[in-house]
Amino acid sequence: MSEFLRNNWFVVVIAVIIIAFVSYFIYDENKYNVSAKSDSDGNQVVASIDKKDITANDIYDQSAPFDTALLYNLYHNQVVDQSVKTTDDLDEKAKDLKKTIEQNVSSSSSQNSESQIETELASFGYNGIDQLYDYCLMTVKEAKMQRDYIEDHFDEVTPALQENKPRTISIISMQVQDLAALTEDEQKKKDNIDSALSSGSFADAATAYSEDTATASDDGFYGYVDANSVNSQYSTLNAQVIQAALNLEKDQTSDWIEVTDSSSGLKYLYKVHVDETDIQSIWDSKNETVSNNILSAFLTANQGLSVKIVQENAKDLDIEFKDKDVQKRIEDYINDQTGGNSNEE
Amino acid sequence: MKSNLKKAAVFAGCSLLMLTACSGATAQISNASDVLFQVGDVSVTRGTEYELIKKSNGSTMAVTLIEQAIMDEEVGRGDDIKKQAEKQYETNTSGSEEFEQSLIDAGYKDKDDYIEKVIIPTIQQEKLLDKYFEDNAKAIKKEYKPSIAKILMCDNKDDANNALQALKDGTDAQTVFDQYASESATYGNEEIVVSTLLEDSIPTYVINTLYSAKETGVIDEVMSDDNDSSGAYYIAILTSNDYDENRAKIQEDLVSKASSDIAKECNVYYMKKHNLEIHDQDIFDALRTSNPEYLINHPELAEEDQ
Repeated sequence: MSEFLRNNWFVVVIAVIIIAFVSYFIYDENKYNVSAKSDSDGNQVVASIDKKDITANDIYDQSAPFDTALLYNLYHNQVVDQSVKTTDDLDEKAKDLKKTIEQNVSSSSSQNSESQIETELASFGYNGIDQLYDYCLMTVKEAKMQRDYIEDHFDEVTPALQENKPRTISIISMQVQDLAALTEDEQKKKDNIDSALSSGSFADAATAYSEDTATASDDGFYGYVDANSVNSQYSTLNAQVIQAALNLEKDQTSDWIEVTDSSSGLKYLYKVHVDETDIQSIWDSKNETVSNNILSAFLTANQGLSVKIVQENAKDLDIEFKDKDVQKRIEDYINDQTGGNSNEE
Repeated sequence: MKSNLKKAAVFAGCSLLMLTACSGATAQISNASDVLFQVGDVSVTRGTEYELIKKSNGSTMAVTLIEQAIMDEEVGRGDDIKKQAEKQYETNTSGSEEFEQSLIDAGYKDKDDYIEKVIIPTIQQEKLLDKYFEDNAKAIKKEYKPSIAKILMCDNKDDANNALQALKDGTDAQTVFDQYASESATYGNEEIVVSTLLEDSIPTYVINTLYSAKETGVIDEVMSDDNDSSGAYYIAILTSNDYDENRAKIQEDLVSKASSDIAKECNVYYMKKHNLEIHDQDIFDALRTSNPEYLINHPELAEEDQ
């Protein structure tokens, strides 16, 4: 042995160094791994203090009575998934949606955005970021399911939306220093816009003069609004402008609207034009954003419609509840969301 | 010999790889395979529901249950607490039956379940905090350096010297404040709890001096803050720096100013005392992100987070 060590001492030294490195690597990789524990009844333990074990059963028992929305989502996800066949088009849309979400996560300044997404996904019934595609596929499938239903029940769901004055609009905006005293250049530009509007189309005037770059390049077209847009946190247009649009008929253009941005304090003059008020025409729009917006508007205007659509599709599936308590909770949830009319035709 | 060495090396390598690949344990519920419902050929089980509960709210619920276990150990659920909880429920609801129905709709079994899960823990939390300010007095004193005092801020050194002399001569404090206090002074002729939480408005030197003073009364020193560009000078009148004597007042003040930090410190103190251990990797990882200070066996994680 000693002769072996004498002859191979260099190899032995290298081996010892490698083993030391590997050992440290293993320690480093595993130092934050937790060890399993079971209580005296064999229940698996999540955490423990000296005199008490908190088991997985404890976590479940404390949380489950309050997770009816999660149970419904698990049921809903299966109904949607099995009711709508995955086509190449839907697959493509799901991948695009997944990509958008991933880009938003990676560009987010929050260090915890991925764990926040994981938490969100879990509340929707998806176990972790690995199931993000499944969530996206369910989302695009549900949108298709909802479109198909609305298409088939158009007359039934239209009156509620009609009350919200749905319409598509275009805008022209120009920033000014003082709304009460325009500079010579500002007044000149305003006069030019008035002149362009009286002699030509709103689209041409918007293309030529509007300072709202996002819409000017598209003939001033802003998109879909209705009464719910006035106070919506997602609206990108000032509430005064939307309100003015709601007071107009199709093809009418507003007077100048004076707007002061509440966050920046900047002052603007706006003109708004109503392009379309016919729900069928807006529904048939080729503009994807408008199409998505009016779909959401239908679902918002008709209370419980999204849950009702799921129930309509569930009728064609083989569904069996093995747990009566879970069944009651899901049924109560559905009735609560639909106001008890989920089974009406 | 060479062959044996080769075998040993291969065996050691495989063992090391296996060790490296090990991941932490995860706890599962006992009836995970129970089917809740079936849609087509897909079964949704209780285990699936539990995994999602754990992912969306598991670490928060685990901390709640750990806190509950600690509170049961430290302050218990005696008759006095139960009576107080009943009384609080009646006061909150005025005996409304609609309220009880809303509790059932929200997921509670009944009124008693709500009292057990919500009101009693709230009362226990208050009692635990009282106990914490007693049990961990030494560390709280070291961290917050509390004292009860009046703080007179003057615009210049002359005013401060004159104010100090007037106070030493026995002039009434209100008269001195009226005459020498800066117009921009945050505090008037009132006793306040001075602590390190006031470092934005009172120089650290003043806080330390009050905390370590041996006698109450006017501090015989005009104090200033070298880092304060306003050039303000401070006179302090110490009422007391006896922690035990003023514990309730100090507690009320510190909690009102830093309730979240103190609640966490209280948790960490008792989690250490009761040797908290986590046995589920998902919960550990979630706490590592949200509350690394609760992973008491790995204090380096909380330090990394700061």
